[in-house]
Amino acid sequence: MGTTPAPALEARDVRRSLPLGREQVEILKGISFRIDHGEFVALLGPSGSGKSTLLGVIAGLDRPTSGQVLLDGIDVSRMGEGKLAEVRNQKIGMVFQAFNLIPTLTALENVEVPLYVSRRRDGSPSKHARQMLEAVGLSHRLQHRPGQLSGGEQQRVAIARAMVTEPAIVIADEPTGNLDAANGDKLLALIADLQAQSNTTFLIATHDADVASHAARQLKLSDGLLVDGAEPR
Amino acid sequence: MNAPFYIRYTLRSLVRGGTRTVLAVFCIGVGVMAIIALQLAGLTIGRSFTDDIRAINHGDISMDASTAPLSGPDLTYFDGLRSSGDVTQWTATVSPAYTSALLNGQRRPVNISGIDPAVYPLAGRVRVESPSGANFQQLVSTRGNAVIGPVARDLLGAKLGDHVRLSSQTSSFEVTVAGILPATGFESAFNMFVSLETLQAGSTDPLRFSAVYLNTPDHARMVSLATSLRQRFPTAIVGTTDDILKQREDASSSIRQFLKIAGLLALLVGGIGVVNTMQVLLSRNRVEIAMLKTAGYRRRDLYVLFGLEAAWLGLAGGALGAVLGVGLSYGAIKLVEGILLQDLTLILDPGTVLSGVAIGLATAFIFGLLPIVRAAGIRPLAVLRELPEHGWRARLQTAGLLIVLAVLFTAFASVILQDLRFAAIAVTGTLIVLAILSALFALIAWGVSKLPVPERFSIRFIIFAALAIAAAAAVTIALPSVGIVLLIFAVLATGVVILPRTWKSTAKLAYRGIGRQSGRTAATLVALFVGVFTVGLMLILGQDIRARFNDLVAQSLTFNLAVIDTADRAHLVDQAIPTIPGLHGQRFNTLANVVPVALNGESVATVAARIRQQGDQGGGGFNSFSQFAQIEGSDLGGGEVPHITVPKKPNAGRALTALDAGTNNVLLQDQLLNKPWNLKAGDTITVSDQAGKATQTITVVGFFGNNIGDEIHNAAVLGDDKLVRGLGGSRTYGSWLLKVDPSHTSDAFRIVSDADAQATMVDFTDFVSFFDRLLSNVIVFLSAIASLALLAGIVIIANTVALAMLERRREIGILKSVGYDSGTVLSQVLLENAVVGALGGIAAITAVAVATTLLGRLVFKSDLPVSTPLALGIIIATSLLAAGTAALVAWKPVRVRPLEVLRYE
Repeated sequence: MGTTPAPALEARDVRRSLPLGREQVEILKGISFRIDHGEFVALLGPSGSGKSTLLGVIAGLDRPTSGQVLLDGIDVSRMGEGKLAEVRNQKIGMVFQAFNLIPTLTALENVEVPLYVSRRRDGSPSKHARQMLEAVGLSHRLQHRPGQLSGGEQQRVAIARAMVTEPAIVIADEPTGNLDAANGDKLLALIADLQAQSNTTFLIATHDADVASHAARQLKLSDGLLVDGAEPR
Repeated sequence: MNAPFYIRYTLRSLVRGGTRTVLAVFCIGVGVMAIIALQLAGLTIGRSFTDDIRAINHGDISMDASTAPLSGPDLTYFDGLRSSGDVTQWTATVSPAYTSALLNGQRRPVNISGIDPAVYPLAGRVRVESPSGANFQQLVSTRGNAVIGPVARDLLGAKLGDHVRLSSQTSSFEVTVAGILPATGFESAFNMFVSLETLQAGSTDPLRFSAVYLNTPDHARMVSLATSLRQRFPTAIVGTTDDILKQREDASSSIRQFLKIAGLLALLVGGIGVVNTMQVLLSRNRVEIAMLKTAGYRRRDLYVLFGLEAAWLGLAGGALGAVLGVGLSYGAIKLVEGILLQDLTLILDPGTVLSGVAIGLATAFIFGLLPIVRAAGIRPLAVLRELPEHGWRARLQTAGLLIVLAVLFTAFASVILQDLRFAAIAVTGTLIVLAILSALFALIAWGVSKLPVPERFSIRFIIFAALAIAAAAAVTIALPSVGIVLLIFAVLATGVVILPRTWKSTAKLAYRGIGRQSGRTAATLVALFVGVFTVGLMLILGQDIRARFNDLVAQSLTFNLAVIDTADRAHLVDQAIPTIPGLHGQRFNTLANVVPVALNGESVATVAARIRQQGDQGGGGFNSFSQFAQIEGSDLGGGEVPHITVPKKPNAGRALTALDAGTNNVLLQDQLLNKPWNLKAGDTITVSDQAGKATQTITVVGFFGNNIGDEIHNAAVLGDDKLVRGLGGSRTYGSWLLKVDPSHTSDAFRIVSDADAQATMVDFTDFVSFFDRLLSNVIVFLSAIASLALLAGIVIIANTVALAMLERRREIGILKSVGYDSGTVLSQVLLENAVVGALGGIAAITAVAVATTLLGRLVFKSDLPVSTPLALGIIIATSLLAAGTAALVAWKPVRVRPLEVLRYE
């Protein structure tokens, strides 16, 4: 009997409180879910439902007040800063609404950035980055800086950067929020393609049901509670 | 780690930093420039002070015998020394007393130096400025020629070829100005050099030599000969090159230490600028740093990354500072030459210049530490979601980093000062003062942020305004200028209530802005305070001392002219003085030159030996017997009692009265109460006339103070007129102090000169211009050093505004989205910084007023007021400087498009 592989991401009764004045407000009220490797999942919820807080906790950028977050079977909820940085580098790729590319670096260099601190030593960073940019359709824009790229192109560079370390999961926070509808659709199609080709796990947070519909599964969040989609189908 | 990436990233990041990067480089550059320039200046001064010590001493041994001048037969002793081989060469010079020069009807006091041009100087050479390239010895050796110093030239208005009549009590002869000495050099600027032959030809009496210079074959004989000379001529001041070297090394070490501390202070203030600038640079990159962290970068990766960024800044700043430092050192040396009146050749020591780069690097690392650690500690989520990051942990970390910074800077300062203990005390002391100032200013900033801007007058506001105005009025009593300034600002702050509504809102936002980052405002205020205080103190103290000196000469002293003549010709001057127009008062005294023989029955040779044993042999001043070499007499019987103040010290005795007429009772200057003399009322001094024929024992009955504002006296010993005439005999002098309208001083000179051509006249205002020039040089030099701190203050303002603009982008966007235009937002920033500038200026001027009041009372024993217009001018200038700097920095950021910053909200 073979062992069941650990899910790409598992949240167990995650709670997170934040101070509001003198009181503590519970933003996440006990979230549990599981995402298997190769899944394309959307985290859907209205503004203020706790999406960004949950993403922060999952990505190891924030600690839960209680509960556990397991990435590829590793509990990241109580890790030290140094170890967390390593996990972020190897297991997680982040995509932000505002792209957050480094303006002084070229597209190629931006994608290379995570590889410079990576423990992986197979091949040159430049080669990996080129391949990744090629995969997102930007092989002709390698030496362009963010200021010379359109919004859609910048977000594609951000996706390439998130995927270049071959993480266990790519977490995207409102990835189409800064794009017009046409470019947003193109980007979602690209993500779906990349996900299908590489079998990389994707978790997209959005308030937009149309965007969420591109995913195979939807985790619905409302007022700090998961109301639907906690288990893989 | 990928080195090329790190290099690329940091260099591009600095390029993107634009003006900020330039400011950071500039901050380091200014600090390094200061320290390199001042180190080079110190090195140059040190070298020139100790380099040609024989030239400075005019030979291996110098002997000042002015207390008991030597006659021709005395000099045979030195011939004997030469014959015995103890001396390889010697020369004696003559400086007659009470000498003056007459040119174009103007008689001015000068020092006549009679020298033997064949051998003088025994070491070094005397440089002649005009005619260019002329030989000093050749010029002087021509009979009837004189070579004059620059002050003598300025006093007389002399030029080459002029015929000048020189007079002393025993001679009167004409010379031709054959050469002029430069403003700097080893020779006194007041001197007129003539040959002994020229001097003897014009004298009725044999020459009496006041100085002897000797060269010895070796060091051992120099030391033993100096001992012999001190025993043989106990009242003379004997100085060897060893003595001069030690004095000069002490002086040069003090100057170098002062310059290094000034440089370190500039570096410290520049360092605050570096902290500030790097904080701005890294704050701009907060999102980027968060990005790197989400991509897996650890703290140590970021330390390396930002450390490298700091290294570039340090390298660039260090290189820039080294280059600028070399340039500045030329200026500094010129200023120091003007103060020391000595030629200096700049020493461009390559090691010192190159050390600038290392200093730049060290500065960048030390002061970059705080922002780097802070930046590397950024929590990505806090940045990406704009959560607050201020907590006790962050504060604790900042406090810890400040301690590390202090320790590192102490270590750095100890390397530069080469004295760990002194560096630790200096740095700790400075940091404690800065910390106290920061706390005080943070409190002031908080207070200003709470200032009310009411819609209309209310009872509460009126009470508040009345209290503020009353407090300012109360300050006016103790510190008038500060009180007036505060009063003006209190009235202005009260007047806010009648401003139009939009102006009020601008004022309110500006006040609140000051308190928002009170720590940062405090840092800006500290930098401004240090700069304005030091520059202000130099300007105000300089102005006060100048005014005080002028007052002394023009009013307080009662007298502005002095006439000296032999007593036997006094009747000639006496008859002429009443005919001087504009004469408002006069005082007459007699003067006699005497030779001290014994103190309390102990011979001067024994006293001198004892003083030397105590290690107080010194080179002159209050340690010299020359203080007993002249007695001033007053007609006590005729009621002319000296108006002196007896110091409130033990053994200070009493003043002279009419009852002391006909006695040998005298008063001494109060310095003689101190070491090494320790004289007291009741002590006796035995003196002889200059010929050594008659001796008298005089009794000390009291002491007189010698403070600024006290009555002027010609000598350190005051007694009865009869005593002085008895000791002086035919060589008794008459001294007249006159109060003449400044418009009639030239008439006074003419009338006295016509009455007796040999009378020497002194116009005290002649010294004012000389003193004024010297004082100006000192003020310019110290202000130049002080303005380095002000420069750093400006950079800090620029950075603070830049940081505020970054932080308030969203707020500016909101203001604009609700109808504010760029001009209104800019005016709020300008007002905020103008108020900060004014606060810094007021605090600095208050500190200057306190400092000058204390200095006036404790040191100068008189009032040193702060002029209200000057105080106001400095405050307004500081305020405008702060507002102007803010305008330059904020001009572009306030023009941000609201949509640009608000669209992602």
